[in-house]
Order: sequence, then structure tokens, then C-alpha cells
Amino acid sequence: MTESPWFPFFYQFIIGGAVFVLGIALALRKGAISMTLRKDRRTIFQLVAGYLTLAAFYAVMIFSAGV
Amino acid sequence: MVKGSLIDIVVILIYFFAILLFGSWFGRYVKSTKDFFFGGQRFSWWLIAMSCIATVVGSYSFIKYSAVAYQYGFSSTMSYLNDWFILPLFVLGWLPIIYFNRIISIPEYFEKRFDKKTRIAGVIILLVYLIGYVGINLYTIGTALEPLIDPIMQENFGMSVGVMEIAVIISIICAVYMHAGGQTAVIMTDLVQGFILLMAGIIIFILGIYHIGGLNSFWQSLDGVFRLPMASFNTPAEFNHVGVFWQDAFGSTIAFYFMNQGVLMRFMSAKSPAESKKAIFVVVLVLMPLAAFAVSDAGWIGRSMVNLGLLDKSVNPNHIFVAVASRIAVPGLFGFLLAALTAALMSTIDTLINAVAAITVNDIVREAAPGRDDAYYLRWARFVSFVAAALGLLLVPVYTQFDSIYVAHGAFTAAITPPMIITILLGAFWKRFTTPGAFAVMAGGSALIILSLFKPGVIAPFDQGVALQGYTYMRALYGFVVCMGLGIAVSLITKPKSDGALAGLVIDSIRDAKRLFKGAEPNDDETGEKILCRLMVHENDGISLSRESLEKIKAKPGDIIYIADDRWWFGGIRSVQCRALEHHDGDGDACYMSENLIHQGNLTPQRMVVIEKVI
Repeated sequence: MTESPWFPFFYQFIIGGAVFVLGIALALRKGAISMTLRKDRRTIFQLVAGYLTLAAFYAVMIFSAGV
Repeated sequence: MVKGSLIDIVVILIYFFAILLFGSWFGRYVKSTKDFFFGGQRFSWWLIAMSCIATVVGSYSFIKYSAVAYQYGFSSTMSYLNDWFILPLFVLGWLPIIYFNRIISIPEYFEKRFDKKTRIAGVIILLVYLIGYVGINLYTIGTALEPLIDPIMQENFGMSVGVMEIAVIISIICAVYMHAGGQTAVIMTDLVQGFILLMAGIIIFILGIYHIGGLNSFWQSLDGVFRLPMASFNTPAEFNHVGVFWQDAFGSTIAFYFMNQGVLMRFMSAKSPAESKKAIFVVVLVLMPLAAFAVSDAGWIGRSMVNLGLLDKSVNPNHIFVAVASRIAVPGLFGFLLAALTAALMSTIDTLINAVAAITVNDIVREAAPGRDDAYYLRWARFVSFVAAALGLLLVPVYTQFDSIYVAHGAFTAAITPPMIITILLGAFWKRFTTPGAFAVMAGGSALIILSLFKPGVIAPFDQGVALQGYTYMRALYGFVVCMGLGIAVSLITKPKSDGALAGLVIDSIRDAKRLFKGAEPNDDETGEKILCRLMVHENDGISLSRESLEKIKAKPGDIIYIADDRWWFGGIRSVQCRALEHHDGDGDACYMSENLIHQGNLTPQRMVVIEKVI
């Protein structure tokens, strides 16, 4: 292994994150969800929390590997 | 060589018999095609979630991911942990579109969104793919189990068991319980099988750690690179991060959630889209990591054992699951692990059979013989379940004798997946996408992907440093780009459908889809409480609640209400959806429904029921 173990991490969460944000933005722009509704705000919160949880999980695993 | 015992065979036979009886028992809940294909749209999130996991873990998952885990370490879990990125598109767009349009099959969506020809193309592509896949699953489980079961049978009974015999037994069991219970049998047996799969993985890990000498010993025996959760970026060609990312995080994940007929039916069988949303969140965030652990840990344990000198280092990676299992197994446990391998197959194959039945009945039988009563289509659905299993079985000797056919199906899958995915994505999320655009994607996109099979050089601009041998993975990115390019280019020079013709079928008009579903203006801006009421019989063709109950669940007359038995562990199998009527002035805790609705929902009069608003 020559590259930093963080390179795949950033690649995945930046490109994946762009698709993730595009999905939410599209739904907001097209009126599929609305920030004025509590249930929709909760759904967006859950989605973002899941994204951050996965990112945190990977980050902890990379740190723990000790490379 | 694995040394099994008679008790292992007994464990497998008990498992086969139990799953057959358990699945068939749910035939009593199937009264219509809606029940057969969608389980009556009544299930709770936890049943859907667990059955999805059983479907994700295929017959070869334990063997394949253990081998990858043994060779490359914790990064074997990448494929199972990269699904979250596409969830906004699924949860906020595709799921409400298919749920509220009551889409039974992808080809049906294609006709509504595009035209009849696109539907026919979808039917042909999906049926070839699904039936071929039934055969592949039977073939792979036969080849995986034969070397394990055959020696035990020869030693104890003096008889030989081959790939075909194993495939026949498994396909008969699946077909019988599918014939009886449809989607309900799929979901309920998958619940059991999902637990078995996860338990098998956890048992292997616990016993493996015990053999190694503890968690600390396990951790210290592995080197740092092995412990990394992501593979090296673009090397080696056979297993690297960028290849898995494009092929799996986007290709396979979108195919699984957007295109896989069986999985869509699973989410359609939830009591509401909100319940489906809960299910998919739990699947991706909790159960997929558990499944990744379960299918990989034999490889990690194997590597640790080799490093500690407890296992011969010349072991073939493809045999590491069996090598580790046989090291730690006690009589009976090995049988349980074989049952887990079988469970992984059966839970995938029953979903495929149900999907074939749904497409055949909805897209062929209903079109050829319209206007018949539901019992007629239900008989067809049951018949097709047997036919699908039989056709899959007939493919097993074909795959056994002609490798080229097996490879051809793999190439066919690689060729049709990106075009189907892009057609669905552009269709659902871009209203400017036209019918000629869809045709260009499906025909032209497939042709360009087939071209890449013969001239892999066309993938070079997309390879991101991955060597030629890794183009199998990078073909997904190439496929997405060429299909999307074709779809956009052709759509921009052709005339789109009017907004009216697309009502409810694109993300711009989900409100219209809800209106169509309900037959009235949707009332879902506010989520009400769940309440408990006592079920009383009346002649109402709907449910009548007290004024205060209606206020608590935030419902109005005409809204669709979900009524379920108050025992949560039924998971919704005793439940029904119906419309709210005008409020009654009687006891505030009482709700009134007709005998017919109570029977339809398998509910019990005088019992407490849980009530909530759907829309």
C-alpha cells in the first residue's frame, strides 16, 4: 500500500456525499418533501445522521487499524 | 476434508421440514393477489428489514466474502456498508412513487411512464434475468453443499448426493411454501432464515475467538493493513476500493433497491411508506453491518489462525469458510452451519420466484386475459411459482455442462443492469426524459456495454488506474456514463410527455401519486399518535372512531387508516387498511368495523387493536 488509508475514505464520502446531497436537494426542489413539515425535517435529519454515523464508523476503524 | 456426522444430517432435515411447514402455514393469510404479492400491504418495519437481509445474503455469500476477508481483511465489508448514499433518492423519490401508484412490477411502471413497447422490453429482460438467476442460485448452492453433504451421506447411508439432487430438494421446498403462502411466506420464512444467518456468523466468531485464545490475541495476530476497513484505492485489480465503490455502492445497490422486483415487493408490503422508510434505515445502518460481519468473520478468524500457526497456510481461500467451520464445529453445529448456507439460498430464491410470478401475472396474464376475477389471477400466481422453480431447476444441468451459458448469463446481467437502472432513475427523477430516450438507453446502452465485453479498451477512460483485469468492476461506471449520456442526448431532441400524462410518476408530482392512491386529497402533513381501541362489529364498510380518537390520530373521514392486532409480535399479519368514516358518539375507546373487514384483516372482535393514520 502506497497511498494514505484516508484517500479511499475521502473519495467515498465526497463522491457518495455529492450523490447523497443531490438526492435531498432534488426532493426539496421538486416538492417531494418540505422543510416546513416536521416529519420531513425529521427524515432529513435521520438521513444526515446515518451518513455521519457511517463516516464516523469508518474513521474510527481507520484510526484503530494503526497504519 | 470435512468430517460431518449423522447428527448434522438430522439437523439439516429438521431445518428443511420446519421451514416447509412454517412457510406453508401462512397460506391461510392469502386470499387475493394483493396478499400473494404484497402480503396485503400490512407488515411492520422489522419484518421487512429482517427479510431484506435474508435476501441480500445469497447462497454464495459465506463462501465468497470469507475468501475475500481471508485475503484482504476487514475491507471485505465494503460491499455491505456503502448503501447509504443512494437512500435519499430511494426514500424521498422512488419509494413513494411505486408505493402510491401501487406499481406491481417495473415493466408496469415503464408502460405508465413511457409506453407499451418499453414495458414489453422490460418484461423480457427481467424474466430472462430472474429465471436465469433462480438457476444460478440453485447451481451455486448445489456446488457449495455437495462436497460437504456427500461424504456424510456416503459414510452413513452408502449413497451419493450430487448437485442436482440438492437443487431438486431445495427447489421443491421453496416452490411448495411459495405456492401456499406467497409474499407472506417469503417474509416470514426469511425472518427465521435471517436470524439463522446472523446466528451462524456470530457462533463462528465466538468459537473462533475461543480457539485463538481471546480477542486480544485475535487483534494482535492481524497486521495493520489487514485491519483497514477500506481496500487499497486501485490495486490489486481483483479487489480494490474504487472498483467496489462504483460496481457495488452504485451499480449493485441501485439495482437492489430500485430494480430488484423482489425487494421492491418487500417494501410495497409494508403498511405504509413511512414503515418502509424505517425498514430500509434499519437494514442499511444496523443489519447490513451485522450481515457483513456474519459472512466475513470466518475469513478473519482463518487469517488469524494461519498467522498463529493454528491452520495450514496453504488453505485455498475459497475453502476458508469450511476449513474454519470444520475446525470449530462440534457434532450438530456443522449441520447448523450447513443449514445457514441453505437458508441464505432459500431466502434469495423464494424472493426471485415471487418476483417471477408477479411479473408473469401482472404483465402477461392480466394483459392477455383482462377483467377476470382475482381468484383466477391468484391461481395463475401459484402455478407460475412452481413453473419458475422448475425452469430454474432445468437450468442447473445446463449450467453444469456448459460453462459458457453460465458466463453468458453473467454477461447478460452486466449488460442490462446499467441501462435498466438509468432508465428508472431518469424516468423517476427527470420529467424531460422521453420514451425514445428510454429506448436509446435500453437498446443503445446495452449494445455499448456488450461492446465493452469484447473491446474492454473502451472502459480505459473510466478506469481510474485500475488494471485491465479489474474492468469487470469499472464497467459499471462506464455503463452509467454511456447510458446517461444517451438518455439525456436523445431526450433533449425528442418531445417529452405532458405534465398531466406524468402525474404521480415522477418526483415532481408525488402529491398527485398520493391523491391517486387515496382517491382524495392526501392528509399526511401531520403524523398523529397510535391509539388503542376495542374492536366492535358493525355494518360499516370502513372504520368508525370516536371524535377524540380521530383527533388523536389526526385523521378525517375518508382518510386511510391502519388497524392491527395489539400484539406487536404479529408484525402486522393480523391487520387491515380501510377508510375512516364519520365519528360515532359512543364509547371513546371503541371502534366499529364490518365483519368482512375484520375477517380480511384476521382480526378478533372485542380485542384491543392499534390504530394509526396512513394517509
